[in-house]
Amino acid sequence: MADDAIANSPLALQPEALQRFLVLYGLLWSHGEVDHTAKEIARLRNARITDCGY
Amino acid sequence: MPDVTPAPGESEFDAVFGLRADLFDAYRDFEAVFWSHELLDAAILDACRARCAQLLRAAGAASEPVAADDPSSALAACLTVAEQFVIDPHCVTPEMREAVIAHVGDAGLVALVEALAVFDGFTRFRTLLGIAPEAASA
Repeated sequence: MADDAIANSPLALQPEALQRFLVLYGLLWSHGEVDHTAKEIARLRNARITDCGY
Repeated sequence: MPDVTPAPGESEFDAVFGLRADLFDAYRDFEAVFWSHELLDAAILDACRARCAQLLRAAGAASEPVAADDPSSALAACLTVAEQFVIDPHCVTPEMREAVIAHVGDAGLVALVEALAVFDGFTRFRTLLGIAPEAASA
């Protein structure tokens, strides 16, 4: 996890929360009813709407 | 609301999110950590959650004002960021962030913003899916 961009972000100041967030986020992307392409398009659309640089 | 019937003692939120049990378990672990590990004062967390619900016009949101009596308090600083987070996070100023850090430190600011992401996102989740409100709990 040390080389991960998220783990090296300010989120690492709260390791207990970060650990649990990564589990949740990982499950969201690796499992589920919605296919990966649709998730990624939704993520990009959300980032554009909210003017997010990520 | 999705076509689910809550079990006795189960909330609509639990029943709906329980359709994805693996995600729900991970969500509950994440959501609870703010209180179980006392990442931020519980009263501040509760107030910020209530204020987010008001701004998002969520069903069951508190009708009475959610505000700090002392404008120089940690609660006031956190509520200011909470309000701007919901309205437009691009307009959270360095001064707003510094006011929070002055009370709870950098780690406290991170905890606040993570908690706000949960409150904002899952208030919208409830609204979009038409889930009935429930009493606030830790």
